[in-house]
Amino acid sequence: MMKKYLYKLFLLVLVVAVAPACTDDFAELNTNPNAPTDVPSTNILVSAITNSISRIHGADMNMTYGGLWAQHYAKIQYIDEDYYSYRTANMDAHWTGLYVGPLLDLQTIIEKEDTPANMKAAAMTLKAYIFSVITDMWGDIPYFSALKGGEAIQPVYDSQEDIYKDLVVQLEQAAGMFDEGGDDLGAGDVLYGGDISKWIKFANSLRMRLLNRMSGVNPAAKATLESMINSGASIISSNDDNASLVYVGDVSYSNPLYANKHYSGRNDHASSKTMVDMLLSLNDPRIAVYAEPTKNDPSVYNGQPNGSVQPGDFGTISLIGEAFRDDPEGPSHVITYAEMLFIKAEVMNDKQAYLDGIAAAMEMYDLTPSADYLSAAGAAFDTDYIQAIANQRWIALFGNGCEAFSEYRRTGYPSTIQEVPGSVYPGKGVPYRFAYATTEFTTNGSNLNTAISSQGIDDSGLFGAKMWWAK
Amino acid sequence: MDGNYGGLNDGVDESWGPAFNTSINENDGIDNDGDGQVDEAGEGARIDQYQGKDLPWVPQPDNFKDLFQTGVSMTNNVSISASGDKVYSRFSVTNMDQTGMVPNTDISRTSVNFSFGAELSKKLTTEGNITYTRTHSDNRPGTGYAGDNVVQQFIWSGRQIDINDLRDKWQTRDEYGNVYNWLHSYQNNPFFTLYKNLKPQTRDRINGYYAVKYQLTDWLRIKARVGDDLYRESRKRIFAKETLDYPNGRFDEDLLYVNEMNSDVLVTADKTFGDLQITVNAGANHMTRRYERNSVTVQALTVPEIYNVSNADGNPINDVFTSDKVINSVYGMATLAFKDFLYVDITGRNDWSSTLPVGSNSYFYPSVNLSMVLSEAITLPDAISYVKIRGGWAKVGSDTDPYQLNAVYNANTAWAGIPSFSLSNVLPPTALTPEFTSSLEVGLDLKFFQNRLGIDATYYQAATTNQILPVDAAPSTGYTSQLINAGKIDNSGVELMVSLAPVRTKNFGWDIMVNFAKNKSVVRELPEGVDAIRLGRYWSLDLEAREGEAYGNFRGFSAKYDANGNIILDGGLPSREATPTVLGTITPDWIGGIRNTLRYKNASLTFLVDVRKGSDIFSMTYMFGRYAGVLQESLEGRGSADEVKNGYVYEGVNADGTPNTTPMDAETWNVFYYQSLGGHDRSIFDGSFVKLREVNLTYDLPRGFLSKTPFGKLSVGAYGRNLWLIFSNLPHIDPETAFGNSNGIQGFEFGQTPSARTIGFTVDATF
Repeated sequence: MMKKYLYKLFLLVLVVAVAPACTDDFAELNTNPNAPTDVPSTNILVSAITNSISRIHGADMNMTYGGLWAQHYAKIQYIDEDYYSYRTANMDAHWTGLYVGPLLDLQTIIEKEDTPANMKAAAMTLKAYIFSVITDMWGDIPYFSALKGGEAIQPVYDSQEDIYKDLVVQLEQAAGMFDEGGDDLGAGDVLYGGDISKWIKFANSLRMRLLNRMSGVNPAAKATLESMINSGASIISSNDDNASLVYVGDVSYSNPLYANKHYSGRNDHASSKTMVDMLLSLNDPRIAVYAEPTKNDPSVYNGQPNGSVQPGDFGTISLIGEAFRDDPEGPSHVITYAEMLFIKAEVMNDKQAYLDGIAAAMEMYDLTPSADYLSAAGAAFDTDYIQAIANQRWIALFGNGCEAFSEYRRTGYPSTIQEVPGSVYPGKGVPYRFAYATTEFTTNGSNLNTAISSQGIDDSGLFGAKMWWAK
Repeated sequence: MDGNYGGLNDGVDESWGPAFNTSINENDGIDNDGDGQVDEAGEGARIDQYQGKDLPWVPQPDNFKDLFQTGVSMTNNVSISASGDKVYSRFSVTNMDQTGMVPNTDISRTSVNFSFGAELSKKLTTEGNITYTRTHSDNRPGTGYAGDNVVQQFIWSGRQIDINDLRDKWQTRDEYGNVYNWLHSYQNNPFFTLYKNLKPQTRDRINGYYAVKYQLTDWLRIKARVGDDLYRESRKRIFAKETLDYPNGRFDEDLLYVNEMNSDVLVTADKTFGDLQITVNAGANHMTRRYERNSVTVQALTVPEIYNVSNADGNPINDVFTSDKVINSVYGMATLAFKDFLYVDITGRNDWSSTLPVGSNSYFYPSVNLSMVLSEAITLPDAISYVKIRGGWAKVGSDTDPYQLNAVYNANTAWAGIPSFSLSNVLPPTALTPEFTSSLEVGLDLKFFQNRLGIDATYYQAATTNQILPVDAAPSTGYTSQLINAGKIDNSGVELMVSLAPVRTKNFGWDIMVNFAKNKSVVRELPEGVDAIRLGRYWSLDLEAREGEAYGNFRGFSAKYDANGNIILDGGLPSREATPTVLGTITPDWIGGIRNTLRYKNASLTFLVDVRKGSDIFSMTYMFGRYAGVLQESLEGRGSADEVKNGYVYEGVNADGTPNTTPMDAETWNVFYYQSLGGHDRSIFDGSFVKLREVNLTYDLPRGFLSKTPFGKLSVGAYGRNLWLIFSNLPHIDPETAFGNSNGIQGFEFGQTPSARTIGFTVDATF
């Protein structure tokens, strides 16, 4: 009996005593069996497309900030952001949600050695799009040394001017890199279903948007824009070419404004009085799409004034239209045919392009402008074409609040957008920018402080120097 | 307020508006509301509310208190021992059942322990121990800033809410078909939350060991031991349909399995050479740890109230994670004892961990301890009964979690069936090395007057180098965090314990025990490119470790103040410093306690007073309570109808130093200060306290009385814990309620279930 125990005891001694030397299998043991270290680019692309577009057009960045400050929407509960009182945590989320995730994923695709040309060009195009939105919202941002991980752990802030100049170069290169007979983008191209010709149009159209935005402060950009128009560059030329993300409509991937209302149960926003009044004054049929009639009187549209107290009775206020709040698959439009026509109209002082732009914008909602509408719109164009185009673009951009906010800051139109009565920064006007993420203070403080002082940003975080392209 | 966005303050979980009971004047002897009666309290201000139209506008002073009930906790323990000549065994069962202070919450714990030993031969002995513990709850209360924490809605609240009305009617519906509640955005009826949105959890844990010892010679023995600790845990978080945050219902379910096994062999040599006794141990250890997590989230339910994955509307989200970790070690210990007065301990250990990079996965750490009992060596005056000095130096090495070395792609939910992946947000380390803490400690242990006065003092210094930590990365790098070896953090401090027995007679005794401890920490160095390590963050207030500062400083935004401490206002409202500054620290200046024990014959009475000096707390209860206007402090500027109507001139100065003259209404002021401004300075409080922690009264029944009963010993007692907060600087909450004790959440507070005052009785019988 004792022998048996002894035998077992010494066997255990042997196993345990010898084991420390056995570290050979440690590398294998410490390999994560739960997640891959490499995946096909197309499965990264789908994540970058959907995460970036749904954020930029989402309930936060669009409906509660960009589109709110562009007065597409107004808040009816928790008015804070409509008083320009932003939540720093939201600013952190916008910033982080674009750099970490979509941009890093696209950078990974671009840097992979075996990425084929079309995939690389698509990633470059999307990357330029996302960076253009970040710089439009924040001004100077980390760009050239961003997304380098440990190689630049505290990326410096680059000037918006330098960034814009590079973005248009990147987009030109991307457009040139696409090859219609080349590699397939795979199932992950949920934007264009693998149609490379449309990707080329997307890259060129985006380049025109950026050139147009910088044209006021950069004459060379204006010249490039004119030559692109005159040479008939391949750009979005019908609503079929629009860069639009159509959502799956399931519980994970629904239109973000739908999800906000139906899955999160939030109903904090209404149609802005600025938008409703504009549409009513133009007798614009899009009123029935953009806004709901009031609950109390279905014959009345009544927008909520931005930055005012909560309405006493919600039944007197027009909520945001069903197409935007109640359609789980409802698309997010990144860039559209109407925008291209408005750019052409603006650059070339081309009235027909402007009228076509109105029709293209209405066509997205299966509407057509009446003859009366077009003649009134034409008259407005004749009076002040810049203002007329800006107003129509602002209407057409409904649902793309960040872009509308940028165009408002560039043009100053519609003139009915004014500082809200309840502004917590009275007298300073409509915010010039988003506030920088507070996480950057702790992680990249000295670079951020340089950027803040060079742009003269005040303590509010929202005012100071205007955007480079808005000067 | 009718719960459907009509009426006053409807759709808002705040507490602004007219003062309660403000009849035009209830005491003016006039029939203000024209009902033919002279007004009674509240009658002058009748307002549409969720309970109905035209109701009196009256306060509910106990609306928070009435949520709670008296919790009851019962612990029973039975143990049986049996021993013979060569064997012994012991069996015990402990059961604890607790119903919570928050309605419909509970927890129970049953543990069964069996231990045994046997002498198989003169040289061979064996022993073992196994414990099974089951912890179960049908529903745990929610915590933190979350809708399922019912305390939240007393911070985001209207003070007119009658909690008893909500309790009575939570199962009914209002005229709009909604669950009966005081509003239909932001907050659920708290009883709906407590009875429908359950959070059950169960943990089954088995731990134990088995050891065999063999005595090779009279001075040499060998021991082999296998120990295992494994548990399986299930946790579920349910949100019924109609919950405001999840109108379609939702649930998450986690299944955890953790198994840690340790195998050891140890050879021990024990020999005495004259006055010198030497014990030497040499051993080896093999540790394996298996972790499995299987989580599923159902984002919407098809049919209400069935919380099974098969009832998912849409695709459930699955997350499965498993990990393995191995540490192999060899270690040795030597103890030298000379004449019962000099003791030396030397240890050394080398670990090989699977979690560190090959090439730096082996690390050695030794320790040396020395103690001298001087009173044994030299003759001291009678008054001095005992003197011991001790000193030691130790180093401890440590590794990290599995799978930290390589970046992986994380799967998102598939987009219309297309797999979707994103690169992990954590930047993997380029070269990770083990972390070490080395510490130096000296101490003195003195006893005087036949041990009636004792002093035990310790001074220590510890330095942690290359601590393995995930630290924040600038998001513009593409990552939110990086795993690094983080610089050097120093800790030093003193611990002092004084015991005193002023009275010690046959029938009466009085013992006093005083504790004192003080720790100081300094972050000496951080790696290049890391300004600070963020330990925690809520509402943009960071808890940090920054080079040159104490470990655990709050850094956030302060309102602007002039040199004289006046708040600087702009247009009647405060302005904020542009950059964050240090606003407090979580480390207390010192902590201490005094325990008094009084004994008279068979009865004894103990009371313990605890003191903490310092340790700041960021009270989000206060911050949001001011925002929502539920706190007494928000009454400044709401004192009269005139102030409510025309505003109130808050104290402060304009930028040019002149006193503020701009009136501001209280709601704008509070909402601005506690939300829009993003200022943290006025929500951080000194967490010092003095508390009567514990009072214990026990009585041992006299042996003579028990001799005719089956009891060997019988004592009865009563105790009270957390009885009296004698002193605190922190308004509204207990300074000891914070999110938790882990580094990241220390010092943050929001919506804690109020700490309970516990009163209990014990009966302790031995047969």
